[in-house]
Amino acid sequence: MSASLNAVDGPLVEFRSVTKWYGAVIGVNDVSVALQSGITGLLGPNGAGKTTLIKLLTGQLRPSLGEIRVCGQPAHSARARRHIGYCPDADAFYEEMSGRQFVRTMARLHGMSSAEVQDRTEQALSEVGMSDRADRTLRGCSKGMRQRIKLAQALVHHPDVLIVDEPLNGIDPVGRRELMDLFRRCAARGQAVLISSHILDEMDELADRIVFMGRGRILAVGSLPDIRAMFAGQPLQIRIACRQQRELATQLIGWEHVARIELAGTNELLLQVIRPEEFFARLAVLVVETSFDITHMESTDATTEATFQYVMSAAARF
Amino acid sequence: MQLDQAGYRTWDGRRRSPWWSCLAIVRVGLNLIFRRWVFWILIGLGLLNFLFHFAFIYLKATLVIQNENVAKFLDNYKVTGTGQAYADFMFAQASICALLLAFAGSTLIGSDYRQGGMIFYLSRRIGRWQYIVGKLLTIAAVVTIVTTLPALILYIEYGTLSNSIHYFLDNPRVLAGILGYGAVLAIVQSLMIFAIAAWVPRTVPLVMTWLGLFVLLKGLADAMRAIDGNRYWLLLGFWDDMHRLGRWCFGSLDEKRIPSAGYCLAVLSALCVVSLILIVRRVRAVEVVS
Amino acid sequence: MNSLIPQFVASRHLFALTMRRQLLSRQTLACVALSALCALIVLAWSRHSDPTSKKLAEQVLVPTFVAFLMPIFAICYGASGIGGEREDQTLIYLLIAPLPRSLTYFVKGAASLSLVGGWTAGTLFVLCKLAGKPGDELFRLFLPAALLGALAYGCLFLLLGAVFRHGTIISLVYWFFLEVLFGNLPGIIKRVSVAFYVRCMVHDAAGDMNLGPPGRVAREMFLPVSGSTAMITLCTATICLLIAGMVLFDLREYRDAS
Repeated sequence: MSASLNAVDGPLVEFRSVTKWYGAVIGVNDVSVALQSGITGLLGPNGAGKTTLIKLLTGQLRPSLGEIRVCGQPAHSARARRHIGYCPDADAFYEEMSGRQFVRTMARLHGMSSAEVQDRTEQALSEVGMSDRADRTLRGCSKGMRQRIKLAQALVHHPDVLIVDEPLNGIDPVGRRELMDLFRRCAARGQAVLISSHILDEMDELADRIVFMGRGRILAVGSLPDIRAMFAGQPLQIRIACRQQRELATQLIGWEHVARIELAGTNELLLQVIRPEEFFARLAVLVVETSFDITHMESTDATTEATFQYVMSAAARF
Repeated sequence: MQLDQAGYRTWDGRRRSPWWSCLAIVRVGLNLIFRRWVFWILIGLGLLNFLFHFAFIYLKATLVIQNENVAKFLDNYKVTGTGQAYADFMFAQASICALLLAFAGSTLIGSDYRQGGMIFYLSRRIGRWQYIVGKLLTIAAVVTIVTTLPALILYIEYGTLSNSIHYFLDNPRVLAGILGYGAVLAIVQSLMIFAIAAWVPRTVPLVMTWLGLFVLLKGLADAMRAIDGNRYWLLLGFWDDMHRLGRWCFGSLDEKRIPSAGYCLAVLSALCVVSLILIVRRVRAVEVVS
Repeated sequence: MNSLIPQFVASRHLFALTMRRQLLSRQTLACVALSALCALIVLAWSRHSDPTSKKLAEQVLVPTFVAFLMPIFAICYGASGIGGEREDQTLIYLLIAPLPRSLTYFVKGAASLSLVGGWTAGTLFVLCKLAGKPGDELFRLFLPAALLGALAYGCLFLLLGAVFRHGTIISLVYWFFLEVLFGNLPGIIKRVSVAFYVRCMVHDAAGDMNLGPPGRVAREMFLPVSGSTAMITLCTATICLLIAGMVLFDLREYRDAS
């Protein structure tokens, strides 16, 4: 990790009331958010403003209003770009180069000495699992290999902030697991990792924090449970596996917390519950008192996808 | 879920011949070009020459009535109305068209290779020949819009601003010339730009190759002729060959002067055949797994 | 000071990278082919019964080299300096590098202009050598004008490539309409064209040869400026265009970069 990280007080990235217009169209609208070390997932439907946010952060665009700071520097300055590693979504390279040459080139563009370039390149290639395959010309590489090389060039200068746009596209399941581990390692080193992705399942287990965007605004920020808790009034889907399926249903149907009950198979109940905390407390009492044999219980909509749906439907009401 | 339950059903309409898809390719290609502002700048610049001729015909028609001497004076310059004048007008338009084709070649053909757009065409129910013909027709349409169409408008304007319908009756060769020269420009240029853009799809080398072929070959032709006075060297200048053939269509080419229209036709035909071979070889190189 | 050394190292690498990528590209092949064609023209011309320096300049070097090859070299390496990166969608890697954008533009411009200048001088040298004795004399007269003209063209096309998405086509349009058409119009409008100043410098340097446009009417319409004025104009245009490009590249937002 670069030494600069330790010198920075406060958030690594800070958006302060940032607005960006494209002529009459608004790209992002009054966005204020701060990123700390750890993995942050950036989610939102198409046209939500994710790409604009990333371009503002990487200094490709300048805000129409507000300010963006990366490690205390304005985002569009060259000094800020020293702290940023960006893995773009576009599948574009200097195609005539090999993967190793490409990563070396990017390292050199960060002003490293020859020895440092050599070391950092090998380190980055090893981190993305490409050490032994990086001599192939990029033109002849598979999509997964190209994606890894793109990630290696973003890591080569040990950035404080790693921004990755759709990093798992074109990667096989084993590779996905490896890259997710890599992101976790980066986060553990104190780097801020911002991942823009449409693969919500992977965000579930990967992201420490989620930033939901819609129509150019930040709709919600926080960990998944925190965001889900914001929608306490929203019915929660719960699946309960119980041998005494019908008896339990008979008990629950009279509760005011239970909006809907559905019998699934021979021993499962699908419930829609309002004020879940009160429901869980009362259910615990019931189970103890009546000895219902509950073998499994889970909330089916505390996932990123379900939370995403909640956030989007809530946003649509405004 | 069963497929029929999802509301899907087999299409029971009649499929037309895949050759109809050429029209769709032309439509898509023209849309692709028309929505670029660079195209409209080039068209606008091409219109300057057209507007000059258009205004000149109007002025001439007015001056004939006001002062016959001025009309005679203007006739000396043969700016309009004659086959030679239309040939010169189309030649000037064709120069602008060459720039336009450098742009169109990169957008219509080059991008198909650079960005893999060709797969989208060939994955449909069309073959390589339909793709080739569709693209050639698109380029030919661009050439026609810039050269033949304005010449036809000038021809109609000249005839309708004259005192009787005799201009049309007395000058059928002019109409044939416009269509003939237009066809020569459209066929030769579309085949050449397709062949070059298919093999050199990036814009900068494409532009260099395209312009180099026209400008430097003409220079080389002139220099070679100057050595021993052999006028057959002039055949190397493809641009002038097209102009000579166009003038032959208008009936304004001196048949005794070497190189004759026949030689020009032979050279341009050979050029077209070579271009077609290059195109077919390049299009065949794309493999579509069905 | 701490950031200056890495910036210098990065700039040096960017310069080498640009040179290498531009030189090992298809446009270099096209340049070689066009130069070879031009060399054939000169070879054919040199077999004339009476090859003189004046004829070589008026019949070959001005129409073929100054009016065509020189701007084509500039379009080739100038317009593709930034424009090529945009076309390949690799500009993003330069935009996220920790170099000030104006410096990135300057370094890329310096590399592109070196190539434009190198090709121009090299081709002129080969053409003059092929032409024999008349060529030897003309090389000395044409070189400063050709180099300054090539650099002015290069800066202009570099700027157009950075500002417009279809920079190459816009450069072509500029070359065709402002250089070829306006350059041959009567009056002072031709003073907007680079080729005009190149020709003025050449005519001034070759004072004894009485070089000039062919034909009386063309000569009278030419309205030349002095060689020193032409040189100052070309130098000023080159510097102004380079600075304008640095400022515009620094301010411009490339939404199509990634």
